[in-house]
Amino acid sequence: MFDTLMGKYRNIVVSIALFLLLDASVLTLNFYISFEIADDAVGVNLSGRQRMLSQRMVKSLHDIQYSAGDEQARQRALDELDLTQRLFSSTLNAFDQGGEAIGADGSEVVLEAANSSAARLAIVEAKEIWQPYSTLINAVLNADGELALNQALMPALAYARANNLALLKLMNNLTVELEHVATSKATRLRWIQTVGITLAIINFLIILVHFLGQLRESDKQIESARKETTEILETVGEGLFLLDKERIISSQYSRALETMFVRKELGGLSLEALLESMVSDKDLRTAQRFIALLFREDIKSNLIGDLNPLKEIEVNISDNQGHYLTKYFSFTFERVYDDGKIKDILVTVVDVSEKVRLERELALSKEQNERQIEVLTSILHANPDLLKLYLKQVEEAADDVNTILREPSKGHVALKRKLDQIFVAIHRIKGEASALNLESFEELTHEFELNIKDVHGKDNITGDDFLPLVVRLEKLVKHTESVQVLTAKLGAFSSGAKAPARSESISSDWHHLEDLLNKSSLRCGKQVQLFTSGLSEVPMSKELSGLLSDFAIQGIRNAVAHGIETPSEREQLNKDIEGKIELRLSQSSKGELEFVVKDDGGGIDIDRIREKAAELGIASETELESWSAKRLTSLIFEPGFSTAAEHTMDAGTGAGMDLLRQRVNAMRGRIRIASRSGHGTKISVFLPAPAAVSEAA
Amino acid sequence: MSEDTLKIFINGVLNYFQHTSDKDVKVGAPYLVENRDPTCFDYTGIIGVSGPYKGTVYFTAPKILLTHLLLSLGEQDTSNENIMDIVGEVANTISGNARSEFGQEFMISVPVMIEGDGSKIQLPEQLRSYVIPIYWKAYSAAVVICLENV
Repeated sequence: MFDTLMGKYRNIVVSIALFLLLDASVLTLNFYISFEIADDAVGVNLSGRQRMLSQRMVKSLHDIQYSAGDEQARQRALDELDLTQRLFSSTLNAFDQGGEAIGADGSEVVLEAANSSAARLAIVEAKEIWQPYSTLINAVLNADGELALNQALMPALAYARANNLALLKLMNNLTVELEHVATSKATRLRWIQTVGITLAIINFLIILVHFLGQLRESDKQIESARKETTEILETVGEGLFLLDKERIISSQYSRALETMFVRKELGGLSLEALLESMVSDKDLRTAQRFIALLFREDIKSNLIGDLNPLKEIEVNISDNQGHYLTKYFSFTFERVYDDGKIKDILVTVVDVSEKVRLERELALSKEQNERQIEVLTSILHANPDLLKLYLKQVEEAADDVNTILREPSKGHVALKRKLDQIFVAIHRIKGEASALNLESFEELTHEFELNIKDVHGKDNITGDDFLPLVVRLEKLVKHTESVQVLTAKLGAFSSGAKAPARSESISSDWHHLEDLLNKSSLRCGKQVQLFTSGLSEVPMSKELSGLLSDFAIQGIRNAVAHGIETPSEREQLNKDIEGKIELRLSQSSKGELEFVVKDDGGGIDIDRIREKAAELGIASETELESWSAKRLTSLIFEPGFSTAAEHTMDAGTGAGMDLLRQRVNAMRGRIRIASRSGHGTKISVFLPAPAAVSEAA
Repeated sequence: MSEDTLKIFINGVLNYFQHTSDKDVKVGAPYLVENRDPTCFDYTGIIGVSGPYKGTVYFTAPKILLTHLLLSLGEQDTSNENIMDIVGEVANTISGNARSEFGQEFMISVPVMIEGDGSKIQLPEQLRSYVIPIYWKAYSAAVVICLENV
């Protein structure tokens, strides 16, 4: 720290030190010289007193002379002489040798020996005069008696008269010389002060001019650097900011950050406050832990780089309209060191939404392609025209189901009725799927039926129970849509196979019945052969052919599931191992159509029907005992009636026959059933002439 | 979309009605609706959902139901403001229930209330929504769920 300061501000520190040094020197000299001047002043004062003392001594000598007879006056004059003589002598000695003297106020002062040549000359000369003068005065002071005094006084007075002026002059010279010395010192002091202060002022001016310039220059640099930083932060496309140890966002950050997060004034905000309600709590906590790791000196950043949980994070920004705007951001973190310690973390945020979107689209289209291939393989074998027809049927059935669901109904009975209606619609498309060998639709509708069965069995049906059904419905609709999209894409389905007007008969597609038979018999472990006759000889509408096809499907399924025995059973009964189903279409002379589905199975099991009827509570057991076989057989047309032990793809739902009867009735037709136990069942459908049918419709 | 997911949102509404004096609330048979024509009553509280499922869930009800709901909660002031508040509260309960059931991976927005036609409810047009009718007293409302599994 000190080093850096010295480095950066070396010049200014030196200049200020110099300024202080100059001031201190001037002050010191000032002190020193002013003390000297004070000493010199004492010297000048005392040398001035020497002049006065020389005159007082002369005056005292005269006072002694004129005080004869007045003892008191004489004594005063003698005392005065004694005092002045001692003062003069000691002061002169002090000027000569240096030493103590009595000051003007009577206190002792120390004098330096005068050393200028003029002063020395005056002192030496004064001493020469003073030596005899002092001896003569001492003689006066030491004289004992009047006579001796007068004898001693005369030479002293004579000497005084002769040398008084010279002595006075010498003392005057000394005073003047001492004054000169003092004055020259004062002059020197003034010079020193002037020079010192001038230098200090120059120094100050240098500091002012030079360093102010420097400051201004560095301010300019800082300002321009700041401007550059601001420009960079304003224009950079990434979100940039520094994060401190408390995970607070720096006051300076890139403008892009605000745009990205659709929020202003981010400086001073904690990263958590920014991200909460945008990322899930789980992601937020992971990010906190990661950033804490980044601030740890003992952890190498390249070791934890891969742990960055915000490398590609989903950010959901609420638009305050109940919707989320989903973006994907990539955060990168770089440590910022100061003096070898981690100070901050530089965070870069990049909006990678487009990249993620493309990646997802790619993955999705790959998945879709795979799914489409799957769907494609499942429909390729189907007759395109029939498939289209079927898809339309499914669409209609789904619409019907949705309409049924939509009808407001609350009670158990109403809901149960709903369930029955839905079952009929689904069962119909299931049969068709089976006939067309569309496995995916078969499975979907089969599962749908199972769900309906589950709900049907409940004691108290509520709206909740329909949830799995509506979920199934959506699945079915989605699947149908995807197949529709696919068939639309495959131009061949729409243009290439322009269905040769379907020859107005079911002859061209009767092979799908064979497929159905093969599948059903395989599932039931039975061997069955199909014989058909007259199917291609009667021209008919699509509606009619659809009905007959459905009838054939239902008949084949019933025959395989219920009628025809297993090969081993047939062997025991001395029947051909292979069962037979016959489909025959004929037209009477009046145009009435007869469609027959006949099998050589075990016939309708009347006892089983009776048992089931009792089980379903259709009538009491005793009542049922009295029912005729015909009445009991007619029960197979009741909704939900099935004698199959369990619900399989081929039997057990008991809605197929009910549905067929409704459709035959609608076409003003009738159904007849004939059955012989052990010999088989024959179901015949009689329909008015095709023209009459269309009129009826 | 699974049945359980739908149930979470429905339960949110049912939970709310458990606090009213008439707790007899029934769920009707659910159905699908094209998003081009969203189901909407007089007042609607919308919440946004993001996470493994993304989309919108809203509770929509006619004014009369909400007025009675207010009264049954002991609130005599059935001003428009209070009605908006109560729709918001129902939506909040749905959102709270979803938050606690779905856990941390989901984000559930603060409800937004709208009054009037459903043109302000923005739903992806190519998708369908599940509509679950809610019957309370003689009135019906609905929970509409449109979520995509992304």
